Amino acid sequence: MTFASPMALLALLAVPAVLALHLFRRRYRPRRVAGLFLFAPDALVASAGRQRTPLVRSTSLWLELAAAALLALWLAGPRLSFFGVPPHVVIVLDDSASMSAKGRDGVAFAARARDIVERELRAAGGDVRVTLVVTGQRPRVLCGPNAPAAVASSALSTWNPQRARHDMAPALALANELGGERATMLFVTDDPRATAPAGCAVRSVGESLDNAALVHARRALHDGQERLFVDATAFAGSTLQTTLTLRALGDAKVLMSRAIELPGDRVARFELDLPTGTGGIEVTLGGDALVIDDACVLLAEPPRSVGVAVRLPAERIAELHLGHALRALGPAVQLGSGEADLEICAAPSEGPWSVQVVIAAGVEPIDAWIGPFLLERRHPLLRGVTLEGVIWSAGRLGGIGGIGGMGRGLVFAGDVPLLGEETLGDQLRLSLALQPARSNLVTSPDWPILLANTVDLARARLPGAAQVNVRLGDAITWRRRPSDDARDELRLVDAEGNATLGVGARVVTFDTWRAGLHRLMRGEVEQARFAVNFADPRESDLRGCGSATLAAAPRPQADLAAAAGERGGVERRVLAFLLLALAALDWLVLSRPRMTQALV
Amino acid sequence: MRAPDDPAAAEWRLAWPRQPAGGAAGTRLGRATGASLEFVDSRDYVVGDDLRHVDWRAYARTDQLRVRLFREEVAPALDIVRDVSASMAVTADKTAAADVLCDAFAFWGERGGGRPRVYDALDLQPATPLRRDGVRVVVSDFLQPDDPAPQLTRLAIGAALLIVVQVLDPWELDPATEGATALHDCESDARLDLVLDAAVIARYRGRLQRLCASVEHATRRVGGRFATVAAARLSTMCRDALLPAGIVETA
Repeated sequence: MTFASPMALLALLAVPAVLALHLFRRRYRPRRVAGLFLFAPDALVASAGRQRTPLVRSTSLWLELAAAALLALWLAGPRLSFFGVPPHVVIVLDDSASMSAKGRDGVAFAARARDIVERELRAAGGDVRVTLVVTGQRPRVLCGPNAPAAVASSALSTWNPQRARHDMAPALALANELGGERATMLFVTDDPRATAPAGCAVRSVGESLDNAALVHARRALHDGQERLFVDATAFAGSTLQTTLTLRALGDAKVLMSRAIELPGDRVARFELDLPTGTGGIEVTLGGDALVIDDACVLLAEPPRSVGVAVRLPAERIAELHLGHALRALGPAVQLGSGEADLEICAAPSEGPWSVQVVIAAGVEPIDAWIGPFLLERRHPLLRGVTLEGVIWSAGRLGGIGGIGGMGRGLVFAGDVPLLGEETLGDQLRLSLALQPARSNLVTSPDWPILLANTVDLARARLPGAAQVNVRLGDAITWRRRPSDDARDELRLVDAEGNATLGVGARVVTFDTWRAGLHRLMRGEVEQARFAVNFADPRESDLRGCGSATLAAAPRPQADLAAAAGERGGVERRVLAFLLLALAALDWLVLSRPRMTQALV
Repeated sequence: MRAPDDPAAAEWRLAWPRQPAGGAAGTRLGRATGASLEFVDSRDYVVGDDLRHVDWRAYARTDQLRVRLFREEVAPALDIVRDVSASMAVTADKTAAADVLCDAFAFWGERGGGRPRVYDALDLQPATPLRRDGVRVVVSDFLQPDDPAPQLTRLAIGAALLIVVQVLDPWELDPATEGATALHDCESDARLDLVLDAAVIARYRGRLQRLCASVEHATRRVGGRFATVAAARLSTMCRDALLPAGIVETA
């Protein structure tokens, strides 16, 4: 009994009404008298209004309450599983961004899909139960399962497809599971070539259209000058003319606007120097069929340079060529001697560092290896590291301390670990067994790569956002500061005010569902802003869209139309009979006192 | 002589009529001449007179036989007509009061030299004829829509005195405001729904007073005595109603 059956909700008011009637009903106290004729002229004299009297739990009261409840139930149209199965329609909606494109008639594909769904629900009858599934790598149930049609219509109005290209199979599999064998299944998409499992019809509502799109945009520092790179493409057979506009986000000031020509199926790159101190900017193309790929917001990435402290003797630093290697990383590294994010030292120590690299010779016996070395290649520290031609001389890693037996080896020579890591809460300690004087590792190309990866590891552990410009569908990550309480609730609020709760304790991640500016909120305090941009050339190419209808193979038990006529009928008849029985019983109970001889 | 059900009956006695009409020989002075010690008159002797009543002193003075006449002594009949209709059993108090009154009248009649007899009657019509020249006591509530005069006149025929005692329950005399009430007639089982408020009760009291007045009027018309009593203890009923009405007097 929901707002989908308002008559049933209204009928529920009969229950308090019956109670009120019984509370305010006039109850006659019986009295035997000898001279009734002396009262007779005053028979049935009405008093001046009724007063509330204590509720008497009479048979009549219970009968009338039961009748009122049954009436509400009857209007709600209940169904019992053994009397019949309600019609169940499962509809899978293509949530890819191309569904939000507008056709030549100005109607979006998504709007066409909504119309089809509404028509389908009307055809299925008023008591239809609906499940709406939205496609995606992780498909989402938009409505249901088994929701009333009114609820489905409401949920449908909130559907706004914006996803990048993805596989439809997970959503179709989910719909198949939710619907079972009896449900009517329909897949609504804009791809005329789309197929669906048996029992699922396909309606394609697309239209082949030309479209211009921003396929890539980024801001980068080149020689101290921030520069904007924009890649745009015309998904058309010929050149498209459009306008490229650059606006500042704060005051909407137009920084640049010019007409451009985009050759068909070719990427056109536009570069532009940005004034120093430029904040967030918005890059837009002229309007066309698909709006979502015509705009891109780029926020200024916050500086995330890593503080590095090298606490080694000078001769050791020279042996390891640390000065050269770290300076080569440019402004991404801030060398210092105080507290640092990355600390390079000769012995394990406590501190506020997030990554500590302990470089020592190791304990006896000291050996030299020429390979082959066994590398944990999936580890980000060893990305791009090959150790080809490297002679590695070192003692045993366990003697360095810190790692002991608890660490995890990353580089091995045979069964001897040479590089290991140990996680200490939020901190990461790397232990490197190396005698630089007897090794050529520090002069090999792998050494600066190893150091750069180490700096990247430390940068990834900096608090705050890893990046503020995110592609739609990618996750937004936010690392809390060590002083932050992990129990504080973080919300990601999109431009329309929809909030998403983050997942994770120290590192909080958010899925991105919609393009546009997002704000990260802790309570009512804004922590950061993120720009979520759509960029998927496969979705921007609307030439493959079209309309088609693919009927579903009939299922033997799917004669839902015939079943629809019976659904709820038995239950309603039983309830109607019970209602009549209760009414008759109540009449009998109430009329018994009136059966006495009437006084003339 | 038997003891009364209520010991308080011994404190009262029936106020007999000054000259009962008649009855079997007894202890009460009758209307005719008899064998009592009360001198009434004298007359000439006729054959057959009791020689014991010849006034020999007068014969000595006048040489005429004169006979002294004395008042007769009778045991008057006391017929107690008890209304046994359902209305008399509407409450236990009312039933008990009627029973106590009948028992007391019988006790008083027996103690006063009378010959009491109790008749149970529906509609005040005893199944057996009442005795002539006796005192008749009617105990009823007279709660009936018909005129009581014909009944009382019929009961008064042949009676030396008719005593009418109307017994009513206290609630019947003074009903309380009880709000919505379903009144069930104990005799006809008819039902009447009404709201017992002050106005209804006032109108009821008026009708009851008119009913009581009609019973009293019918009683007075046949020379009887009338009292309306509220069901209570015998002493209370005697003090408050029967004594003022001259039906009983203190023993």
